[in-house]
Amino acid sequence: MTTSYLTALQLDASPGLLQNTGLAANLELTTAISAYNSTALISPYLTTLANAVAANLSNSTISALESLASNSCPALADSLPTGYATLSVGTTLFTGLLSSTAAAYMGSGDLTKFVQALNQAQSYADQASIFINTAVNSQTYLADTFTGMNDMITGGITQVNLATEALGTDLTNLGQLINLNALDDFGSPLGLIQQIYGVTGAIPSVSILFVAVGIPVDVVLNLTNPAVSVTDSIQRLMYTAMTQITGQALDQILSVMGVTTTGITTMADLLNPVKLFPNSFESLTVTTKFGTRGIYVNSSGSVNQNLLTQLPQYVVRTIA
Amino acid sequence: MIAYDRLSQIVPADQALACKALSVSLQQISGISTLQLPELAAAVTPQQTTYDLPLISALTVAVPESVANYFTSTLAVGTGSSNSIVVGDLLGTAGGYVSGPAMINTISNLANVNVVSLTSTYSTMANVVDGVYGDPVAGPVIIPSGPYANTYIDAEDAFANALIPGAQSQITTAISSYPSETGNLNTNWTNMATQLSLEKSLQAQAGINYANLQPNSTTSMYGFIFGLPSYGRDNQVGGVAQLVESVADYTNFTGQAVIACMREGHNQPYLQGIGIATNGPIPADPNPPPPTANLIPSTYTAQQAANIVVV
Repeated sequence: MTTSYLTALQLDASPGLLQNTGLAANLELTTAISAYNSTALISPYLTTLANAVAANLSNSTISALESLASNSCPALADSLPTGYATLSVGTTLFTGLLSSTAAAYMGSGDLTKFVQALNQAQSYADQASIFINTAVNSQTYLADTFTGMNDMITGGITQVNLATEALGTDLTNLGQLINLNALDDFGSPLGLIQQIYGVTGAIPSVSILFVAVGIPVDVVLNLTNPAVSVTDSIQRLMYTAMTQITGQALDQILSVMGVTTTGITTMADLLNPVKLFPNSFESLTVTTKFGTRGIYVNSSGSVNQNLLTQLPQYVVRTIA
Repeated sequence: MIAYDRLSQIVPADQALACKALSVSLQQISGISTLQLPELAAAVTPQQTTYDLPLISALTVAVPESVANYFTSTLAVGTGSSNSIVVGDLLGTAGGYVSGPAMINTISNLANVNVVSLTSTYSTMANVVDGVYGDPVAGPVIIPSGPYANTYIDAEDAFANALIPGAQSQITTAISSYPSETGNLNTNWTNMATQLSLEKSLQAQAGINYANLQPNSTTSMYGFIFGLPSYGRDNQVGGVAQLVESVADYTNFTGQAVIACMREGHNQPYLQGIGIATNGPIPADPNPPPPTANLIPSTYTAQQAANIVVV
C-alpha cells in the first residue's frame, strides 16, 4: 500500500471542499458588483433591461440599451466597452457578465470543475512561462561569447576539432599520456616526464640517458617530485635525450602509458601534436579573439604562424 | 605556465607554437582539468555535430531574434515577469484579480460624477417598462412631466425617440463635465474587459473548456487538497496562492483551513531547510493494521528443501 500523508489542516479543509463549500467567487468582487448594481443610477437601468422583453421593446432597442455608452463611458450604463469582439453581454449587462463568469469559473456549484480548471491553468502557465522567460533570456544569454552551435552542443569540443570522431580516436590512442590538469605545460619535456613518472614512477633507461646528455644527477633523481622546477636549459637537454629514446625503451613507455598511436619513433615525438594526433592534426583549431583559427595550415604539418599574434599574449610571451 | 617564448627555446619553435595553441584550445572545454584523458576521449568520440545542417551551423547567435520574438510577441501576453503567464491571467476574474479593485474604484469614481439627470432618465425608463405610464405594449405611454413629458405610441416609441437619445446626450454631458472621473471609469472598465478577454483567449490556448470538465470529480478535489501546501509556495503576483486565497471563503471553517494549509506549505521549506520538524502530518497507516490475508503457502519447509537438494 502506498503511504501518503495529509496534514491536520488538509484534513480540516477536506469535508467542506468535498461538499462544494469553502471556495467561492471573490467576495470583494461580488460585494462591489452588488454595490454598483444597487446605485441609484444603475439599479433602474438593470430593471429596465430585465423588463425590456416583456415591454415588447424591439431587439434593436434592447441592443441599443445594452450598448449604451459602450464607446464613450460604459460604466455609466453598465455596458461592455467597444473593441472586445470575443465578449458579449445580455440584459444583465457587463457586471452580469463579470458575475456569471466568476461563478462559472468556480464551477457553478461544482468546485471539482474549478480545481480541474485550476490544474490545467497552472500547467499551461508554468509551461508557457518557461518558453517566454527562456526566449527573453536567450537574447542576453552568453552575450557575445557564442562561438557556434557546434561548440554549444559539444561543450566546446568542436572548438578543438570539428572532426570529433578523428579527434576522439587520437585521444583514445594516447592512453594516459596527457595530464589535463597541467595543460599549461603541454608540450614541455618536464610536463611530459612528470606525467609519465606520475603514472609509472621513474624509468631507469630514461634517467640514464638524461644523465648521459649532461643533466645533473640530483635533478634527474628529483624528477619524480611533482613540484620540481628545472631550468629551460635543462629542459632543452631533456628534449635532446628524448630524441634518442627509441626502440625497446620507447615501447616500454608507450606500453605503460597506454599509447597505441602509430608513427611514434622517438620519445620526443610525444611532444609533437602532429605525431600525437595523426588522424586529426590538420583540423585542430583554437578560438582566438579573431575567431576560430587552424593550428596547422596543411597536411604536412606546417604551423599557422599567424597564431603568434592571435593567441593571448600571456601565452606567447612570459610575463615577468 | 610555460609561455611560447620559453618553450620555443626547448623544443622546435613550430612545435612549441602548435602546443601552446592546442593547450589554449583544450582549456576552453569546461571542466577539462578535472578529467583523465581516457574520460575525455570517451566523451569526444561519440560527439555529434551540426554536420550537414547548414542553417544551424550558420547561426551566429544561439537563438535568433526572430525566434525569441515569436514567443515574446505571440505568447507573452500575461501579467507575470516578462509578460509571462500566471494563473490569474486565466482564471483571475473568479478571484477579483483585476475586476475587484476596478469595481471598487468604479463606485468611488461614480460617486464624484453628477448623474442626477441620467439617473432620472434611467428611472423613467424603468417606469415605462414597468407600466407606470401606461401599458408599455399596447400603449399609449404618457409621461406626465419632466424632460420626456409626452405621449408615446408605446414603450418602444418612448425609448427609441426620447429616452435613449436623452440618455446619450446626458452621458456626453457627464463626460465633458467630469473628464478625470469618467477617464478613470473608462480605465477601470477597459481593464476588466481586457482581463476577461485575456482569460478567454488563454483558456482556449490552455484547452480549458468548462463544458468538457468532469462533473463531481472527487479525485480532482483530492488532488487539489494534496496540492494545497505546494500552492502556498507560489507567491508571485497572480500565482496560484493568490488566486486560491482570493476565492477562499474567509467566512467559514473550510475557507480558512484552505488558507492556513497554504501558509503551512509556505513555511515548510524554511523549517525543513534547517531540520525543524512539525507535527502537521498525520500518519495514514491503518490503525489497527488490517488483518493479513491467508494466501497460498509460498515458502519451502526445511524438509521440503532438503528433499530437493541433489546429492
